[in-house]
Parts: sequence; structure tokens; C-alpha cells
Amino acid sequence: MKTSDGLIYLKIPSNKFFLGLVRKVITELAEKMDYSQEDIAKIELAVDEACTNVIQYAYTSEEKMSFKGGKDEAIEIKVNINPKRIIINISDKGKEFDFGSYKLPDITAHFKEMQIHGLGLYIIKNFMDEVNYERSSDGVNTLKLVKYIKK
Amino acid sequence: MEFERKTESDVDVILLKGDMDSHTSPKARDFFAGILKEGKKKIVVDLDGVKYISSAGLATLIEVFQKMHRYGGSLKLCGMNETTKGIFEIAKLDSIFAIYETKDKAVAAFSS
Repeated sequence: MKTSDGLIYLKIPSNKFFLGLVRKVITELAEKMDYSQEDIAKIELAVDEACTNVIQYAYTSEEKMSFKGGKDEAIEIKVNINPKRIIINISDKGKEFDFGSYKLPDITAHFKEMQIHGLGLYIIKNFMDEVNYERSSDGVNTLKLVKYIKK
Repeated sequence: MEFERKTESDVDVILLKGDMDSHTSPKARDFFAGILKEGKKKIVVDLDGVKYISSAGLATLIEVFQKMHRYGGSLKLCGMNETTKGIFEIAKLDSIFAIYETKDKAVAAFSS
């Protein structure tokens, strides 16, 4: 791969139907880099969980079950790659997420209470090297995921 | 997702095929709801045909486990690939579910 950064841009309607497509694109990219199979699987899962959270929690329009998504209900995925790492920015214009007060759940207690919400972010935080959330002044949420290539 | 169901002695063996993500998991949940209505007490879920599972897939299996537990049933899992095993470990579910390497071992565990 060239030493300069490569940028891949993907925009999908807020609909779970497209999760498989997103996973295919992300895994194919990661496979062209020097990631282990284990790390490719982790990146794939983290991106899926992040997009699922957007569809389920950030956007609430009933229209989201249509292939078009609701009005302005799109998810933008920008992937920046270089030989050292992959950065995946996942953006939406839905509800703000209170990332600061999110605490990694006690999974065993969650399990007993049959509350499994929050498991997605728990997986993202465990599987990616860096996870940051930002909300811009014009209402765009961006979750930034970074995974470095182990040498 | 696709589902195959067969009976081995008195154990119901469910073979799942396909990706278990938040798009496909509701279909799996509906499928299991039908089986649980029958009050089946011994179920093995074979994940050999599942190459990918997300937290939505885990949630579906957790739900089946808990519902069966309530009526005195028991669920055993088998056929996980390395990635799926890793996800179960990260979510600390490997200590809660009864997990076996193969379907035969999972079925045999019911009679031991």
C-alpha cells in the first residue's frame, strides 16, 4: 500500500438492511491491510455495533424501516487508512449521545436483569484502540474508531 | 438466516445458518419463540453455520437461555468459530452459557 493516506467514503440510509454491506466493505479494506484475522473481525464488529446504535437510538423516525430511511436519516462512514492504522468516522444527524456519562456495564449483572443494552458500546470499547465521540454545533454526531496494526 | 431443526434422542438440535446481526436477529427470535412455546426442555443451538454474530445475536441467545431457565429448561451451545468465542469471552458470557466444541458433545452432555 502507498504511504499516503487513503480515504473511503460510504453513505447508507439508516436501515439495518445495509449492515451486511457495510461489513463487507470494511472487512475487504481491512483484509488488504496487515491486520490479523482476529483484528479484522474486531473492526467489523465494532463498525456494525456503531451503525446499529445509530439506527436504534440516534434516529427514531418510523420511516427508518423503509429503504430510504427517514428524512435526513443517513449514516456517513468515512474510512481513513494508512500503513499504520485505520480510522473510521461514523456520523449521523440524530439524537445526541451522552457518551461522557456512559460507563462500561457490569455485564454479569446486566445479564441477570436481562438488560443487554449497552453491550454494543462495551464491545466497541473493548475491540478498538481508540473510541471518541463528538457532537458538532450543527448537530452532527461522530463516533471515531481507531485500530492500529500490530507489528 | 436459515434454521434447521432435528431431534436427537430427547434433545432438540437447532442449526443456525447465516449472519446474526441486528437485521437478522429478529427472525431468529421469532423462530425460537415458536420452539419455546412447546416448552422444550433440552435444546442445543449449533452455531457452526454462523460466521458472524453481533451483540444483537448475543441478545437473542441470552433471551432464549433466560426464558428456558424460567420453565426449567436447559440450553447448550456448540460449533462456535474463534471470533464468536472471542465475543462470548469479551461479553463474559462464556461462563454463563454451557458451550461445547461439537454438537455431539453438547447432546451427550444432556445424558451425562
